[in-house]
Amino acid sequence: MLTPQRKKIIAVFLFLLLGLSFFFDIILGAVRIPLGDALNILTGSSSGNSVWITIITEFRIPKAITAILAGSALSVSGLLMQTFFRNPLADPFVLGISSGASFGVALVILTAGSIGINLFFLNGLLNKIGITIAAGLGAAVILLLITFVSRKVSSNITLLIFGLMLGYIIGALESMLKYFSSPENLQGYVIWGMGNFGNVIWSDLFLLIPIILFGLVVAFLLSKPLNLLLLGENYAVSMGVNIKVIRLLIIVAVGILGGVITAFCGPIAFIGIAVPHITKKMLNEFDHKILIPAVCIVGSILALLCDIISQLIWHEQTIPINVVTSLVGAPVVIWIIIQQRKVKHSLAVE
Amino acid sequence: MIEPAPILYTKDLAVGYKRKKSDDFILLNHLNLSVEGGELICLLGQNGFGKSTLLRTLTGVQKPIKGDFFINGKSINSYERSQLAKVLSIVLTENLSIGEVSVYSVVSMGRYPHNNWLGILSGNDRKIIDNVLEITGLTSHKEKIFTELSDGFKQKVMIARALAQDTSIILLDEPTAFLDIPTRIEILSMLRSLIKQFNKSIIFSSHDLDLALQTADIIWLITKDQKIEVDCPEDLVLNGHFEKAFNKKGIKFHPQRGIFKMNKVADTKIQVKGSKIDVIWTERALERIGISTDGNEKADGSIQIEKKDGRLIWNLDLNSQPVLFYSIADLIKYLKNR
Amino acid sequence: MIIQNISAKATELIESGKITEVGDSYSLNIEKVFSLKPDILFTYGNGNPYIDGDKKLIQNGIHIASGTFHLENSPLARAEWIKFLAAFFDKEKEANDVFNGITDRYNNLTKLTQNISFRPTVFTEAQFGGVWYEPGGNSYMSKLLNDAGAEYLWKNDESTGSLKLNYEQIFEKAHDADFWVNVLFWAKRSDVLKNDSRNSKFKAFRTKNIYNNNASLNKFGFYEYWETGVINCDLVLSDLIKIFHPELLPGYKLKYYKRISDD
Repeated sequence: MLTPQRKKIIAVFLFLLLGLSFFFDIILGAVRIPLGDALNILTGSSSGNSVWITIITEFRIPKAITAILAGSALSVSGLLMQTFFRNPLADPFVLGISSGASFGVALVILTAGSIGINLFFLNGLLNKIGITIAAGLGAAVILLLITFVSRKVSSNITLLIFGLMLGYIIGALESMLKYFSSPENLQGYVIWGMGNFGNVIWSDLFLLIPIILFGLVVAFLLSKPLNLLLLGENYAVSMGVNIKVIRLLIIVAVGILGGVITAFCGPIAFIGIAVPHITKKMLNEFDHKILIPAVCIVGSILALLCDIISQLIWHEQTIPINVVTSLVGAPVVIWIIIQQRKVKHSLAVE
Repeated sequence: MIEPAPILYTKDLAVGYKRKKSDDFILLNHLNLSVEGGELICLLGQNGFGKSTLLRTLTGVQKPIKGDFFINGKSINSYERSQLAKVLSIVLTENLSIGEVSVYSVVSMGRYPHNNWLGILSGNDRKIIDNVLEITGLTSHKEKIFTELSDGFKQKVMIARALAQDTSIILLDEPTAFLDIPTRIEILSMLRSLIKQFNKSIIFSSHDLDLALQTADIIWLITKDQKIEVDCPEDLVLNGHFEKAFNKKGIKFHPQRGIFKMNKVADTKIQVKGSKIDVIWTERALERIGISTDGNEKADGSIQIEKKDGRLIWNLDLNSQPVLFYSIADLIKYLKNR
Repeated sequence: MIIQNISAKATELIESGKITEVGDSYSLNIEKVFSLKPDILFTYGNGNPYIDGDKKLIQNGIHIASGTFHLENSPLARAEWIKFLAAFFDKEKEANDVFNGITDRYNNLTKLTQNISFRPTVFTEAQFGGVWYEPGGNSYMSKLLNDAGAEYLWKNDESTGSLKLNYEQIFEKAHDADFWVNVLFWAKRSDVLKNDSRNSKFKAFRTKNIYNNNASLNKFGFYEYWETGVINCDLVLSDLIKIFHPELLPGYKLKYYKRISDD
């Protein structure tokens, strides 16, 4: 067990790391801005290259804030799903939320320009508002479907399988859309699917921040029932948890957090599944009222670091976020599996 | 003296399964049971006759098919989940895959029905937890990781958690399953001492007939006609209900020893004489190979057990051929091969 | 050649069923093609009829010709592909005449801007799903803009395809550009803002100097720019010169391009 002293040190370390990552994500980017000028701009001096000021204030700061929101929202969603389904490999999208969002976007992008079909009269071809609304609607429809089913079904496993199968069905429909679309549309859609923190502007943030905060607060308020769920549903019920209500709240929180981020950033891979494990290992903690804030911080750091890496690796070109998160996340998942087998093996020996 | 009201009582309770398209499947009917404070009750019965269903109904997981039951005078239907959690706790045989949680943390979850919405432990909560850990002998283990404990300790931790929940009734489903004999005895005597110390009522189901008969104050015996016989264990044996409830083809209950034995037809009867313990264990060995040692038939032979120079000698006289053996193993080998 | 005539003729043939839809080069309706028993099937892609068309069709006697005009690096080279088509119809002579005419007109127009003193800066395209595809320095678009007397901001790049850049990089270089052309499907200022509100920070937006190549649409709503505009590169060039240096072509009216409307 970690002593409170140790935990405080780790907390301080994490906050520092968060600050540094935020700072570097703003300083570094596709366009080279000298450190001195960047610092000047950040400390609010209005003189200096106006282009660089715009780049930092209109492009990079919103992007970094988005990364923090995405890292927090996805990590908390992943944690909730892992606790709820007692499955270390669950992620925020296991109930089909991201498939719903992707399908909404697919409908808008892939059918754009086809004779006779021009959805939403928003000129489908990558009109940003249209895409965001479509993704949000897609996620919402799936969310409603899942909540409806969850009330009819008593077993979590059934719900999980339903969500997974729903994801497959939607994926199939999406494949069909992809097959019939033009190359340009397809390319645009594929690139959307690779994730991007940079498409969010300040006016979007005025919407995004309150929604994400709301979702995070709901999740935090569920800390006690979540802790009890660790013992299994039977014990949780015996200690006063109303499973149906809690299940609904968890689904809503995950749906909002995951759905909104997907709507604004595209589907972001791996952060949701990897961060809860990294955090639990680091803090040796099970209590959700500590874990939830902690995964927010660790998730934000990871998202910011991935964003920084995505800009630095290839000269002059940015690599899509999902490439970086997958390359970082997959080793973590592998490590989890090895850990699990170690535990199983040692128990067998016992 | 006015008798205190029973903590739990059932009124014409029927348990079973609701089926959508046909009649409800009733396992136990017209139950009028009651539980007083400070009782250790064991629920016994053959598999499939309603043991688990009754437990699940009493814990509120399953709804009664008919009738009602009352805890502290209030009907189960009028209880909110959170209120019920303060009067009734359970311990199951589930295999928990909790993860890296300490013993202390697991036990502290027992306080959740009592503390605030975030689950923050008060000073009082901590006192109760420390107390419970001491009673269950877990104080030195409180920082250990739950999943690394042996099954016996895990069970103790879950009982400690139920204790911390501070309910007047604790229900345990097969608390001694998968545990070795010494641990079983330990657990059951812990339950006994909890009754004494805290005046709690504990209901547990078990397949361990021997220990149940020893430790329970009251047995709820599930009979084969959807009823429950309520009595102290010894009465149930003497009035034959016990035997009736567990009778199965090929198995017989022996009231003298309080055990069930395979009902084999013996072809030979041998009478064993000697000091009490030697006789008992020799008879067990003989019965194992199908030789009867009691009953009304005439004996075909006899064994006299003597002690000479600190060693035991078995003197077999069968068909008028005396043979000497220095161990039961040799005796049995001979008898098997004759 | 006048644009409307060609387009009208093609439209008439489509509507009367004389020209049939058989899918596009990525999903050809093979059976339909086969049942029509065409003398030849024209398509485009890699230049390999087996890949751009279909192996089964070729095996069963359907002739497929595949072009790669879209891979050419100069406007004239793209237009020259008219000779490829003409060869199949024994109209080489006419094609040569047409092409020579186009070449002459194109070169004359280029002469107008060759020694010009002031070249306005220009950039193209827009953010497309988080990526900005900007033509490379050696692409045909870069040449076209250069021939039109503009300073294409990425003309020093060496690639012939498109660069995948992000908004930041574009903004740094082009925030002050005089002109912004070839902007996806936009027709109004509100389209520009809907794509990203930060588009308003470009000087070209403030000075209302955004032009798109969607002035002329065929009956089905598709851009003439991608149909006759490929051959009539001299007219496209004229349009661009008119945009960048209106005084050089006083009587000329824009045919393929139009300014983004103010609403």
